[in-house]
Amino acid sequence: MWRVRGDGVSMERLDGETIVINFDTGEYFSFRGSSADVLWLVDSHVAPEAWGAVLGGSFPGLEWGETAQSEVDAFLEELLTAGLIEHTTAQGTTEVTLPDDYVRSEWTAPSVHANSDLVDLLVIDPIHDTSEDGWPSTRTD
Amino acid sequence: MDGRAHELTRRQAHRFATDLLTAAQDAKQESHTVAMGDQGLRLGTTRSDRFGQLVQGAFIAAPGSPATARLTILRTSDLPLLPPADWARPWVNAAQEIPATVAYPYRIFLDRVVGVVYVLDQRSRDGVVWIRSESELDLRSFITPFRTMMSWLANLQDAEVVHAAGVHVGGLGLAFSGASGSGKSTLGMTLGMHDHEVISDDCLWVQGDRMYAVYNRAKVDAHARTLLKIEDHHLLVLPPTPRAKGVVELSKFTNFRLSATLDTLAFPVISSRPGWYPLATRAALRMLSRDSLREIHGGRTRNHLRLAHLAASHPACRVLLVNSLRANVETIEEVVAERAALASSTERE
Repeated sequence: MWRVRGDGVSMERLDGETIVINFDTGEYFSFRGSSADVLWLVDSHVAPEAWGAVLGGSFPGLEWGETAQSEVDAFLEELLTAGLIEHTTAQGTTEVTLPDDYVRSEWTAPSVHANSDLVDLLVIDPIHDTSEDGWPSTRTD
Repeated sequence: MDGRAHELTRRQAHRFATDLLTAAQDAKQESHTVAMGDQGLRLGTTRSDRFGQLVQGAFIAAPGSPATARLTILRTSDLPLLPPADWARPWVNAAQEIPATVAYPYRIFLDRVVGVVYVLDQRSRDGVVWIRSESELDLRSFITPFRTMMSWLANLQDAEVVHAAGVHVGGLGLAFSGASGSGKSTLGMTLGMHDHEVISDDCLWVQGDRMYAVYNRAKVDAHARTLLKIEDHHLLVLPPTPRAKGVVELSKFTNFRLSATLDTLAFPVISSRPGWYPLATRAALRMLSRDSLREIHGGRTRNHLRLAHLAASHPACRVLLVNSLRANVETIEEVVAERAALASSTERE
C-alpha cells in the first residue's frame, strides 16, 4: 500500500484539483481528474484491491482492466520518484467514495507534471526554516 | 489511523459539519451583504443586540455586491450544545484544524481556547461560526476569530488573507506586513491622516494583483491613540478597556479606500533612525509567511503557494520606523518615489 509522505509534503484538494508541494525539492504540482482521484485514494488509506471498483464506478465507460491498472501503476511510480508518496504496511479500507466535487468524464491516464518556477522559495532552508528539533522538522512560527 | 478507523472518523466529522450547518440554516437571522474581495458575503446574526451589531459593524457593508458565500454567527443561546465531537479530540487537543483527509469537502476547526467552532462547506460556500460565550470572547477581539473563516472563504476564490495594513500612496498600493507591535497599523493610519489613502489596518484580502479591505475596524493602543490624536479626530468607536485596545472605524477616515492594486510589500520595524532598504524575495516570503500563516494556524498548501507567488511577483523592502510620524511618512514617500522612478525607467526601456 501507499501513503502520502507526511514530512516535507503538503497537499490540498479543492473543487477536484489537488495541489501538492514537495518542500524538500521546492517543486509543486497540480493534479486534476484521474490524477487527483488516485491521489485521493492514496491519501484516504484505501486498499489497492478496492481501487478498480471505486474508479470503475466513478468514470463513465471505464472498464477496469490491465490497461487502466498499468496506467495507475506507472503514475504511482512517478509520484514515488517525485518524492510525494511512500510505501506503508498499514491496513487499508475498502469503504470509500470519491469526493463529489467535479463532474467526471472519460477516463484519461493519470500523470505527473512538476512546476519548478518557485523552487528557490519553496524548498525548506535547513538553516533558517527548521525547528529546534533540527532537519527535517519545520518551524511552526 | 488505519483505513477503517479513518473512514469512521470521516463520517463522524461530516455529520458534525452538516448538523451545525443545518442549525445555522434553521436559525432565524438578520443578514446583510458585506464586502469579500470583489464579491459579497451574506453575513447573518441571530439577534441585533450589542454583539450582533458589533459583528455586522466589523465588516464593510456592500449592499450592491452579489453574495457568493454565506456566513452565520451562532451563539450558545441559539445552539446550547454542539453535535458530538469526540472524534475530533486529537486535533482539538493539538489546537489544529481537522485535516482535509477527514473533513473534506468541509473545513472544520474547534478552537477550545477561545471557545469558537468554525465549519465551512466548500461546495455550497455556506459557513458557520459558533461562539461558546460572548463574555469569554472579548467584544473587541472578534476580528481575530473571524480571521480563520475569512481565510477559508478567500481560498475558495484563490485569494489570500494577508496579515498586513494596506495603504495607497502616490498611486501605488503598499502592504505593511508585520507582527503586533511592529508599527504597521500606526504607520497605515498615519499615512491615512497625511493625505494618503488607508485600506486596511491589519488584514488584507489579496486577489490577483489587487488588495481589498476586509474589516471596517482597527485596534489602536494607547501610544498610537496619543500619537495620532485619535480622540481629537472623533475616530474612536469603542473606547479602550483594561482588557482591550480601543477601536477606530476605518471608513470614518476621509481617505478610506476599499481596494487598490498591490505594488510593494513592506515590512516595518521600530528603529533608532528612519530609512528603508530592499529585501530579497526569500527574506520577504519568510516574514510574510511567519506573520500571515500564524494567524491561520499554519495554513494549508494553497496558502503557502499563494504567499510564494505573492513574494515572487512583488518587490519588497524593510521600513525603519522612528518615533516621528512626519519622518515615517517621508520614508514611505521615498519608497514610493523610488518605485515610481523604477517603473518609469522600465517603461522607457
